[in-house]
Amino acid sequence: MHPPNHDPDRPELDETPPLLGTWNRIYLVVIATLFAQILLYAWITWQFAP
Amino acid sequence: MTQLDWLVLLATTAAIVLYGWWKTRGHQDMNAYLRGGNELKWPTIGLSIMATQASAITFLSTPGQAYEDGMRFVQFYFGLPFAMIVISIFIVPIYYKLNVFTAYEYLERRFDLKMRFLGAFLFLIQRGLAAGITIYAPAIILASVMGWPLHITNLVIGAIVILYTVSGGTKAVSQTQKQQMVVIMVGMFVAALIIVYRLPPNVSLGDATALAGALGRMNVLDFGFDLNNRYTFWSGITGGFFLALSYFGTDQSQVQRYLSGRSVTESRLGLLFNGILKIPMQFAILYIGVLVFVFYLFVKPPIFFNSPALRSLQNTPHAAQLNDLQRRYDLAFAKQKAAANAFVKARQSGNTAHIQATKRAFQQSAQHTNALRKSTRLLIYDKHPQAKKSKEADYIFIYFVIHMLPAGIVGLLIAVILFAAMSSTASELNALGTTTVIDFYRRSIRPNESDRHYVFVSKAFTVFWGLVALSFASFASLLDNLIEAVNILGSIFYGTILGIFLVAFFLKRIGSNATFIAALIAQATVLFLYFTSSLGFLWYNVVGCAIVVFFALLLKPIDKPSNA
Repeated sequence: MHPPNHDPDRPELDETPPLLGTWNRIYLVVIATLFAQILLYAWITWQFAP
Repeated sequence: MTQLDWLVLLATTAAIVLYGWWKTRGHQDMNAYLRGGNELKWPTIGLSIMATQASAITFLSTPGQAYEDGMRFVQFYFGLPFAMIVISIFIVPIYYKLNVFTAYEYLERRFDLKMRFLGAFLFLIQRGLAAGITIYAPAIILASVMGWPLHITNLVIGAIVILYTVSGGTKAVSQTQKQQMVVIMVGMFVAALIIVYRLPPNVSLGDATALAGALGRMNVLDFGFDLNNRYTFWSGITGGFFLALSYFGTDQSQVQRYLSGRSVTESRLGLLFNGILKIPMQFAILYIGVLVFVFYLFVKPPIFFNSPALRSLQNTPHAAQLNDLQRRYDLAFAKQKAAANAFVKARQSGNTAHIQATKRAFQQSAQHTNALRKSTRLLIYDKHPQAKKSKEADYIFIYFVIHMLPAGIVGLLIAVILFAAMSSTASELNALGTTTVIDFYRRSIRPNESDRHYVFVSKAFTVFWGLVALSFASFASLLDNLIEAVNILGSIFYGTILGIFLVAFFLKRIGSNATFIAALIAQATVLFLYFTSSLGFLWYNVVGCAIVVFFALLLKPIDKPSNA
């Protein structure tokens, strides 16, 4: 049974992402980017500490 | 502002507003008006999400905050990428599957009508007030610095936003936000280039960063566990995560942005685009503030950046006291400048002992200068309490823009600030109008009207909320510390709202009554903490959310199985 606002023309929910093949890989890139930034900021904090 | 500045400001504003109107001209049905016809691609969604979050005060306050306090504010956003991932995995598919217009429709499907009303009501109260502040906060600063009348400034910002939001709906909001974000990014980049160019020739970017670091402005990370410290790595990654989850996952002004996507994929990519770019963007804005700080180590800044407040004290019996502080400040600044130059020369010589000695001398001279600035601030706040209504830090960047940037660029930067105000306000009005129509009007007052009727009523409610925001912005100057109060108000409610949604998403066996009572207990506890403790406001999000989940689990038996 469909929900009340169901629209048959809307696309399927689980599409493959246009990059990297799977969503998990894209999420990993987001986390890796954050981790790389934190490393950079740690270096900046240490390098330019008063 | 010169004629060239006015030309740049008016031309960019007119071009963007006309573009938004042209892209959305003609009749729109309800899906087109409230969800942009589900046509938007991820770059537009991503920029729209960023533009909604970045208000004018972001561009006025953040550089000033770095000037006064350094870079540590960036930690506030460390939880955001994780929140974007959680929303992409769990929340976006649910909203798409149920084909909702608002986040609160989902609460009725999951619980019952009272939970939908509770969620929508909390949103309307909180965002209705915030929309007024989004207009008022930059208007009071621009009006005071540029000499514009406050009411006219409020009215112009508000009227332009109402015009294009009402005429084009969600699509107009997103299309104009895309253009506005481009102007904002170009404007900030140009400002950064000019600051670097205007540093003394012997000061490299490395020297500038070292000067800022010596005075504690490059303190990006703080791993301390002090719960009263507002910005630490831990508060950012936990409190920031909950705040972002609540804001992006349950606040209609953001939900409406990604529900206008062409598919789940486009919405997810838009959110993840924000997850990757938000922190570097904030870092860049803060670093611009640090560069302004270094610039003012070589060019004497005013003793107090809120020039109108400073001038008002010069015509009173306290002028002698102020003049004495100014004289001592001039001498202290000259010493500080010489110490900064000595430190730069020592760095270039590479002699470690000399570097350390000149660094200590520089730090001591800066302490003296800072003490005099602080004394001046206290004197002004004591004798001219009106000056307390906006923080001095909010005036630093705009002061720099007006006094140090060339003609044309000033107009561009004023456009940046106005566009940031307009883009946030447009999303808020769009979401307020939508929630009022979908969750109250269509749900309980007139459920079986035509599409055309609901589009007309949506426009009418968007105008109504625009007028509410404008009225609030006009009367805001009558109240003290209003901006701070509204910001805290948001934090107080977000934890509870997030708790309700988390129970709805992940604890499927818990029913409406248990969640409703748990939400009331959580809200009362957070309010109690606000009035009785000094807990940093980011932690309210964690506490409120945790209490809702805990008591909802505890009270689970009070709901009949059929209600769950």
